[in-house]
Amino acid sequence: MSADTPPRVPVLCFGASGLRFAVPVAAVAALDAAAPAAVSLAALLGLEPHAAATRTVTVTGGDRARALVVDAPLLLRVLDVGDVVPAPVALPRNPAVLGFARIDDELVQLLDTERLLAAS
Amino acid sequence: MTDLRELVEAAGGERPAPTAAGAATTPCVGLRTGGRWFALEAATIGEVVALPPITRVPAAGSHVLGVAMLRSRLVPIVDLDRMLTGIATPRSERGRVAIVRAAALELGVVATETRGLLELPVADGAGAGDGTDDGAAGPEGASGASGASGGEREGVPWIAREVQHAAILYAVIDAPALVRAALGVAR
Repeated sequence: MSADTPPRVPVLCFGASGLRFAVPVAAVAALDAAAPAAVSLAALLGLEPHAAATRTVTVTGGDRARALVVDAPLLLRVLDVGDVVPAPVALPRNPAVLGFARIDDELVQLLDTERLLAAS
Repeated sequence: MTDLRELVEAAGGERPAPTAAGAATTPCVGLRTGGRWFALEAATIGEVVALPPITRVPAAGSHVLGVAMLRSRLVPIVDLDRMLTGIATPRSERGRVAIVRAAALELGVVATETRGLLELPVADGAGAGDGTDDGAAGPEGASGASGASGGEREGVPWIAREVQHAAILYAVIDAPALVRAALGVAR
Protein backbone atom coordinates (compact mmCIF):
# COMPACT_ATOMS: atom_id res chain seq x y z
CA MET A 1 0.00 0.00 0.00
CA SER A 2 1.37 3.38 -0.95
CA ALA A 3 1.77 6.07 1.66
CA ASP A 4 -0.74 8.18 -0.29
CA THR A 5 -3.49 5.59 -0.18
CA PRO A 6 -6.25 6.71 2.16
CA PRO A 7 -6.72 4.29 5.03
CA ARG A 8 -9.64 1.89 5.22
CA VAL A 9 -11.22 2.32 8.62
CA PRO A 10 -13.19 -0.35 10.46
CA VAL A 11 -16.24 1.24 12.04
CA LEU A 12 -19.02 0.13 14.34
CA CYS A 13 -22.46 1.22 13.16
CA PHE A 14 -25.48 1.62 15.41
CA GLY A 15 -28.65 3.63 15.74
CA ALA A 16 -29.97 6.49 17.83
CA SER A 17 -33.31 8.24 17.49
CA GLY A 18 -34.00 6.54 14.18
CA LEU A 19 -30.69 7.68 12.67
CA ARG A 20 -27.55 5.66 11.96
CA PHE A 21 -24.15 6.57 13.35
CA ALA A 22 -20.68 5.05 13.26
CA VAL A 23 -17.52 5.31 15.33
CA PRO A 24 -14.08 3.88 14.58
CA VAL A 25 -13.64 0.40 15.99
CA ALA A 26 -10.41 1.65 17.51
CA ALA A 27 -12.50 3.91 19.76
CA VAL A 28 -14.72 1.06 21.02
CA ALA A 29 -13.66 -0.34 24.38
CA ALA A 30 -16.56 -2.71 25.05
CA LEU A 31 -19.90 -3.91 23.72
CA ASP A 32 -22.92 -4.77 25.80
CA ALA A 33 -20.94 -4.37 28.99
CA ALA A 34 -22.96 -3.88 32.13
CA ALA A 35 -22.81 -0.15 32.64
CA PRO A 36 -25.33 1.35 35.04
CA ALA A 37 -23.94 4.81 34.33
CA ALA A 38 -24.50 4.52 30.58
CA VAL A 39 -25.99 7.58 28.93
CA SER A 40 -28.24 7.69 25.88
CA LEU A 41 -26.40 8.66 22.70
CA ALA A 42 -29.60 10.29 21.48
CA ALA A 43 -29.72 12.52 24.56
CA LEU A 44 -26.04 13.33 24.19
CA LEU A 45 -26.65 14.51 20.64
CA GLY A 46 -29.78 16.43 21.56
CA LEU A 47 -32.12 14.03 19.75
CA GLU A 48 -35.46 12.66 20.87
CA PRO A 49 -35.17 9.16 22.32
CA HIS A 50 -36.54 6.49 20.01
CA ALA A 51 -38.02 3.21 21.19
CA ALA A 52 -35.75 0.45 19.97
CA ALA A 53 -33.84 -2.56 21.11
CA THR A 54 -30.88 -1.03 22.89
CA ARG A 55 -27.27 -2.04 23.34
CA THR A 56 -24.49 -0.52 25.35
CA VAL A 57 -21.28 0.54 23.65
CA THR A 58 -18.36 1.90 25.62
CA VAL A 59 -16.34 4.35 23.57
CA THR A 60 -13.11 6.16 24.26
CA GLY A 61 -12.00 9.58 23.16
CA GLY A 62 -9.02 11.54 24.36
CA ASP A 63 -8.49 10.40 27.93
CA ARG A 64 -12.17 9.65 28.50
CA ALA A 65 -14.34 6.58 28.23
CA ARG A 66 -18.12 6.43 28.40
CA ALA A 67 -20.80 3.80 28.08
CA LEU A 68 -23.47 4.86 25.59
CA VAL A 69 -26.92 3.40 25.11
CA VAL A 70 -27.50 2.98 21.37
CA ASP A 71 -30.07 1.24 19.19
CA ALA A 72 -29.58 -2.12 17.52
CA PRO A 73 -28.50 -3.46 15.16
CA LEU A 74 -24.77 -3.10 15.74
CA LEU A 75 -22.86 -3.71 12.54
CA LEU A 76 -19.18 -3.87 11.79
CA ARG A 77 -18.12 -2.39 8.48
CA VAL A 78 -14.89 -1.27 6.84
CA LEU A 79 -15.12 2.25 5.54
CA ASP A 80 -13.39 3.16 2.30
CA VAL A 81 -12.75 6.70 1.15
CA GLY A 82 -15.32 6.13 -1.59
CA ASP A 83 -17.97 5.53 1.05
CA VAL A 84 -17.52 8.98 2.57
CA VAL A 85 -19.86 11.73 1.39
CA PRO A 86 -18.57 15.26 1.94
CA ALA A 87 -20.71 17.28 4.29
CA PRO A 88 -22.40 20.32 2.73
CA VAL A 89 -20.47 23.55 3.16
CA ALA A 90 -21.58 25.40 6.30
CA LEU A 91 -24.06 22.73 7.38
CA PRO A 92 -24.94 23.51 10.99
CA ARG A 93 -24.45 20.36 13.06
CA ASN A 94 -23.27 18.94 16.33
CA PRO A 95 -19.47 19.26 16.34
CA ALA A 96 -19.21 15.55 17.08
CA VAL A 97 -20.62 14.79 13.62
CA LEU A 98 -17.45 14.61 11.52
CA GLY A 99 -19.16 13.76 8.28
CA PHE A 100 -21.29 11.24 6.44
CA ALA A 101 -20.89 7.93 4.69
CA ARG A 102 -23.01 5.62 2.58
CA ILE A 103 -23.04 2.25 4.30
CA ASP A 104 -25.40 -0.54 3.20
CA ASP A 105 -27.43 2.05 1.22
CA GLU A 106 -28.00 4.10 4.34
CA LEU A 107 -26.66 7.52 5.20
CA VAL A 108 -24.56 7.13 8.33
CA GLN A 109 -23.20 10.00 10.42
CA LEU A 110 -19.57 9.57 11.45
CA LEU A 111 -18.89 10.53 15.04
CA ASP A 112 -15.70 11.92 16.54
CA THR A 113 -15.68 10.24 19.96
CA GLU A 114 -13.25 12.76 21.42
CA ARG A 115 -15.60 15.64 20.65
CA LEU A 116 -18.60 13.55 21.67
CA LEU A 117 -17.18 12.78 25.08
CA ALA A 118 -15.82 16.26 25.59
CA ALA A 119 -19.40 17.52 25.39
CA SER A 120 -20.76 14.92 27.82
CA MET B 1 -34.32 16.51 -15.09
CA THR B 2 -33.56 19.71 -16.91
CA ASP B 3 -31.14 21.91 -15.09
CA LEU B 4 -33.26 24.98 -14.78
CA ARG B 5 -30.37 27.23 -13.97
CA GLU B 6 -28.45 26.31 -17.11
CA LEU B 7 -31.60 26.73 -19.11
CA VAL B 8 -32.25 30.19 -17.77
CA GLU B 9 -28.64 31.28 -18.15
CA ALA B 10 -28.61 30.02 -21.73
CA ALA B 11 -31.67 32.13 -22.34
CA GLY B 12 -29.99 35.28 -21.13
CA GLY B 13 -29.64 34.86 -17.38
CA GLU B 14 -30.97 37.69 -15.27
CA ARG B 15 -31.47 40.21 -18.03
CA PRO B 16 -34.82 41.82 -17.37
CA ALA B 17 -37.34 41.50 -20.16
CA PRO B 18 -39.67 44.39 -20.90
CA THR B 19 -43.37 43.69 -20.57
CA ALA B 20 -46.10 45.12 -22.72
CA ALA B 21 -46.49 47.86 -20.15
CA GLY B 22 -42.77 48.58 -20.31
CA ALA B 23 -41.93 47.28 -16.83
CA ALA B 24 -38.84 45.08 -16.57
CA THR B 25 -39.36 41.57 -15.24
CA THR B 26 -37.24 38.63 -14.21
CA PRO B 27 -38.14 34.93 -14.40
CA CYS B 28 -38.96 33.44 -11.03
CA VAL B 29 -40.15 30.14 -9.65
CA GLY B 30 -43.07 30.21 -7.20
CA LEU B 31 -42.99 28.07 -4.07
CA ARG B 32 -45.98 27.45 -1.84
CA THR B 33 -45.29 26.46 1.75
CA GLY B 34 -48.67 25.75 3.31
CA GLY B 35 -50.61 28.98 2.77
CA ARG B 36 -47.66 31.17 1.86
CA TRP B 37 -46.27 31.88 -1.57
CA PHE B 38 -42.65 32.72 -2.11
CA ALA B 39 -40.75 33.44 -5.31
CA LEU B 40 -37.10 32.87 -6.11
CA GLU B 41 -35.30 34.16 -9.17
CA ALA B 42 -34.99 31.20 -11.50
CA ALA B 43 -31.29 31.86 -11.98
CA THR B 44 -30.71 30.91 -8.34
CA ILE B 45 -32.51 27.57 -8.66
CA GLY B 46 -30.45 24.62 -9.76
CA GLU B 47 -33.33 22.21 -10.02
CA VAL B 48 -36.67 21.24 -8.51
CA VAL B 49 -37.00 17.64 -7.38
CA ALA B 50 -39.59 15.45 -5.70
CA LEU B 51 -39.28 15.42 -1.94
CA PRO B 52 -36.30 13.12 -1.26
CA PRO B 53 -35.60 11.11 1.90
CA ILE B 54 -34.21 13.52 4.48
CA THR B 55 -31.75 12.50 7.19
CA ARG B 56 -31.95 14.58 10.34
CA VAL B 57 -28.68 15.99 11.66
CA PRO B 58 -28.11 16.59 15.37
CA ALA B 59 -28.07 20.23 16.43
CA ALA B 60 -28.70 21.51 12.92
CA GLY B 61 -31.43 23.91 14.04
CA SER B 62 -35.16 23.35 13.94
CA HIS B 63 -35.57 24.90 10.48
CA VAL B 64 -32.89 22.62 9.02
CA LEU B 65 -34.79 19.40 8.39
CA GLY B 66 -31.60 17.53 7.64
CA VAL B 67 -29.63 16.54 4.58
CA ALA B 68 -30.71 14.78 1.41
CA MET B 69 -28.60 12.90 -1.09
CA LEU B 70 -29.03 14.43 -4.53
CA ARG B 71 -26.85 13.31 -7.40
CA SER B 72 -24.25 11.82 -5.06
CA ARG B 73 -23.91 14.94 -2.96
CA LEU B 74 -25.50 16.00 0.31
CA VAL B 75 -27.67 19.10 0.40
CA PRO B 76 -29.06 20.74 3.55
CA ILE B 77 -32.86 20.94 3.44
CA VAL B 78 -34.62 23.86 5.11
CA ASP B 79 -38.22 24.74 5.94
CA LEU B 80 -39.09 28.40 5.24
CA ASP B 81 -42.22 28.28 7.41
CA ARG B 82 -40.16 27.15 10.36
CA MET B 83 -37.74 30.00 9.74
CA LEU B 84 -40.63 32.46 9.68
CA THR B 85 -43.05 31.12 12.27
CA GLY B 86 -41.58 28.00 13.85
CA ILE B 87 -44.39 25.91 12.36
CA ALA B 88 -43.48 23.22 9.86
CA THR B 89 -44.52 23.31 6.22
CA PRO B 90 -47.18 20.65 5.62
CA ARG B 91 -45.97 17.69 3.59
CA SER B 92 -47.94 16.61 0.54
CA GLU B 93 -47.72 14.12 -2.30
CA ARG B 94 -46.92 17.06 -4.56
CA GLY B 95 -44.17 18.15 -2.20
CA ARG B 96 -41.00 19.38 -3.87
CA VAL B 97 -37.57 20.62 -2.95
CA ALA B 98 -36.10 23.57 -4.82
CA ILE B 99 -32.32 23.51 -4.84
CA VAL B 100 -31.07 27.05 -4.32
CA ARG B 101 -27.49 28.03 -5.16
CA ALA B 102 -26.26 31.39 -3.95
CA ALA B 103 -23.38 32.94 -2.03
CA ALA B 104 -21.24 29.91 -2.97
CA LEU B 105 -23.58 27.74 -0.93
CA GLU B 106 -26.38 25.35 -1.73
CA LEU B 107 -29.52 24.33 0.08
CA GLY B 108 -32.88 22.77 -0.61
CA VAL B 109 -36.13 24.53 0.22
CA VAL B 110 -39.15 22.38 0.98
CA ALA B 111 -42.31 23.44 -0.82
CA THR B 112 -45.84 22.09 -0.76
CA GLU B 113 -45.90 22.80 -4.48
CA THR B 114 -43.95 24.81 -7.02
CA ARG B 115 -45.02 26.91 -9.98
CA GLY B 116 -42.95 28.48 -12.68
CA LEU B 117 -41.78 30.28 -14.61
CA LEU B 118 -43.32 33.51 -13.41
CA GLU B 119 -42.32 36.83 -14.88
CA LEU B 120 -42.17 39.08 -11.84
CA PRO B 121 -41.17 42.74 -11.83
CA VAL B 122 -37.59 43.50 -10.88
CA ALA B 123 -36.97 45.34 -7.64
CA ASP B 124 -37.10 48.90 -8.94
CA GLY B 125 -40.59 50.22 -8.65
CA ALA B 126 -42.00 46.93 -7.44
CA GLY B 127 -43.85 46.41 -4.22
CA ALA B 128 -46.75 44.74 -2.52
CA GLY B 129 -50.04 45.49 -4.14
CA ASP B 130 -48.54 47.95 -6.56
CA GLY B 131 -50.66 46.81 -9.43
CA THR B 132 -47.86 45.00 -11.16
CA ASP B 133 -50.02 42.02 -12.04
CA ASP B 134 -49.38 41.81 -15.75
CA GLY B 135 -52.28 39.51 -16.37
CA ALA B 136 -50.03 36.85 -17.86
CA ALA B 137 -50.99 33.23 -17.53
CA GLY B 138 -50.44 32.66 -13.84
CA PRO B 139 -50.45 29.57 -11.71
CA GLU B 140 -53.58 27.57 -12.24
CA GLY B 141 -55.75 27.24 -9.20
CA ALA B 142 -54.52 30.53 -7.82
CA SER B 143 -56.41 31.06 -4.63
CA GLY B 144 -55.66 34.71 -4.22
CA ALA B 145 -54.81 34.12 -0.60
CA SER B 146 -51.41 35.35 0.41
CA GLY B 147 -51.56 33.26 3.56
CA ALA B 148 -49.32 35.55 5.54
CA SER B 149 -49.45 39.15 6.54
CA GLY B 150 -46.89 41.64 5.43
CA GLY B 151 -46.24 42.31 9.09
CA GLU B 152 -45.12 38.74 9.56
CA ARG B 153 -42.46 39.30 6.94
CA GLU B 154 -41.28 42.67 8.21
CA GLY B 155 -37.69 42.58 9.32
CA VAL B 156 -37.02 39.24 7.65
CA PRO B 157 -33.70 39.89 5.92
CA TRP B 158 -34.14 37.22 3.25
CA ILE B 159 -37.43 38.59 1.96
CA ALA B 160 -36.58 41.30 -0.55
CA ARG B 161 -40.07 42.52 -1.41
CA GLU B 162 -43.63 41.44 -2.07
CA VAL B 163 -45.19 41.30 -5.51
CA GLN B 164 -48.78 40.71 -6.55
CA HIS B 165 -49.04 38.48 -9.61
CA ALA B 166 -52.07 36.65 -11.00
CA ALA B 167 -54.01 37.19 -7.79
CA ILE B 168 -51.26 35.79 -5.57
CA LEU B 169 -49.02 37.80 -3.28
CA TYR B 170 -45.47 36.49 -3.57
CA ALA B 171 -42.73 37.19 -1.04
CA VAL B 172 -39.71 37.47 -3.29
CA ILE B 173 -36.71 35.86 -1.64
CA ASP B 174 -33.21 37.31 -1.64
CA ALA B 175 -31.46 33.99 -2.30
CA PRO B 176 -27.98 34.86 -0.94
CA ALA B 177 -29.54 36.29 2.22
CA LEU B 178 -31.74 33.21 2.62
CA VAL B 179 -28.84 30.79 2.25
CA ARG B 180 -26.72 32.73 4.71
CA ALA B 181 -29.56 33.02 7.24
CA ALA B 182 -30.54 29.36 6.97
CA LEU B 183 -27.01 28.11 7.42
CA GLY B 184 -25.94 30.72 9.92
CA VAL B 185 -23.19 32.08 7.70
CA ALA B 186 -21.99 35.65 8.16
CA ARG B 187 -21.87 37.85 5.08
